[in-house]
Amino acid sequence: MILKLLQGEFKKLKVGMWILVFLGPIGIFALQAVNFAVRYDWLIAQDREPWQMLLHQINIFLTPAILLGTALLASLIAGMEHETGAWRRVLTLPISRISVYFTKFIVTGILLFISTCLTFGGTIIFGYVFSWEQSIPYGEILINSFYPYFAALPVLGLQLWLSVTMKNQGSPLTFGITGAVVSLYLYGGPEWLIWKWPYLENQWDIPEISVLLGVIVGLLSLVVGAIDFNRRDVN
Amino acid sequence: MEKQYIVKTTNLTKQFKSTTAVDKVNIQIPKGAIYGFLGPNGAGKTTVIKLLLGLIKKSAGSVSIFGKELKKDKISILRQVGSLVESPSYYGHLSARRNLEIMRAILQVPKSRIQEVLEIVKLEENADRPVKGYSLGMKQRLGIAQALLGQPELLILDEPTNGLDPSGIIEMRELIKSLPGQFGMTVLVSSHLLSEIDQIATEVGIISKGKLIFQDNIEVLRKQSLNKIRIETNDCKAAWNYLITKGYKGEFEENHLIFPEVDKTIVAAIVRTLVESQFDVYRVEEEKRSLESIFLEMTEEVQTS
Repeated sequence: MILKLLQGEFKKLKVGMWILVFLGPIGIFALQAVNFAVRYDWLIAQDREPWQMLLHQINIFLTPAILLGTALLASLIAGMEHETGAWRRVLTLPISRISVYFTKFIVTGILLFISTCLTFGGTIIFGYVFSWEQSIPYGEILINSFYPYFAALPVLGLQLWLSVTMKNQGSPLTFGITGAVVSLYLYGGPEWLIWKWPYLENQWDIPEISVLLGVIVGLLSLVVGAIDFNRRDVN
Repeated sequence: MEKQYIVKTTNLTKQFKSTTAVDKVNIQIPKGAIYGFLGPNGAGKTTVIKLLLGLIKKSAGSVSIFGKELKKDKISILRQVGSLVESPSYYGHLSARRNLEIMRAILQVPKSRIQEVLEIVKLEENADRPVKGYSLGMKQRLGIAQALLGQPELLILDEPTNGLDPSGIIEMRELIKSLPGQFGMTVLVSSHLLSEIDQIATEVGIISKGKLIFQDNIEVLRKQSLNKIRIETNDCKAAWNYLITKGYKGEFEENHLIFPEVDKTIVAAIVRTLVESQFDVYRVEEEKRSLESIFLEMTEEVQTS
């Protein structure tokens, strides 16, 4: 049944949401292009290998981009149902509310995953253009592209819950955008702040911890959100 | 044996913070009925409907649909229920056909059903353009099409004629009337207009201030609307006393006498008695009591009490 619901969700998506999915990675690389054009000599002079330097530069932009994309997509996906009171329609269909909520989470997750894949491909193309001597470190690029995605799942759970439970999308959007902006200053901040997890930076210096925490807390936020959604009155 | 009801609520109650929106409501809808759910705006009609559909949680009481507890068998009940609550819900950027297709996949009815419901609500010609460009009436008809899509046994329509033009209202009325006979559906229609319910319903429930103040066959309600005969004479008090001695018991009001609708020969006899006893009869008139005024009386009683 979840599969049927998922198909339905994808049929509902607006063009704007797809544009957003592509715009995120495009934005990251546009900024990188400016970054590299302005200070290429300085960047390349850092004591990192060129590919590692590129990955680091991308990672700085990637975190706020993922957080922003999460907030916007979650809001659009939930807003679609708020707009004409379509929750009433969806929730009087013979399907459980839990599966409706899970589907919303999965759809938003898939859209963000597509952005992540584009970032992965984009990184390779971007670095390839400079034809550095160093061979392309595919493994590290994979880590740099996909780890932040999983580390950002708690924010997805939180934003989705906010957007689904509030009819007016102003508050969840403000909250999400603030989170994305604040994340810029969170590098090295307290570990419990979920908005810094996509940096993969933590006191243990093990990026896998950020990923593991992201997946566990992300799933937890999904379950808690679904339970709350199940109990709510729909107006 | 107890009568089988498609919808049966027992002391259904919904509390919103300090206000009681629905207060111990016992609705009983027999199979094949068109149940007119009547009440002024804000009386709690939509809240009851949302409780029946499980959109909001009840504070107390129980809901049973098709003899099953809503709380336990919600999904299997919803499979057999079509609904249109408040304004129509749709995805504006998609066509009517796409909107229906998304629902169809979940309801698991054959694809051909989409064309059928589009034809029923006469929306075939516009089915392929985005719904956001539709008129309110067309959106309302799409709402009905969505409600009918799953071939439900119970159809719940909340103010279905909202936003329809006169010809649309007539079409909707005919459609609703045809549903029990044609498809064996049971229908619950809410409205704040008695005239509308009067034309389609077989059963009526009247809600006011969250309480169900009347529920019965529509004929029972119609009986209450029987007309009265009002007679005005030069000395009503004396005439009233005199008529009682002759065996005609009426009601005495300030300057006229009122008799419940009686046979015309009795009206003639009363008048003859009065005239023969030297009373001047100024006028004899029929006082019409419409269903509308009964409805108003009923709902006012609740409001003042």
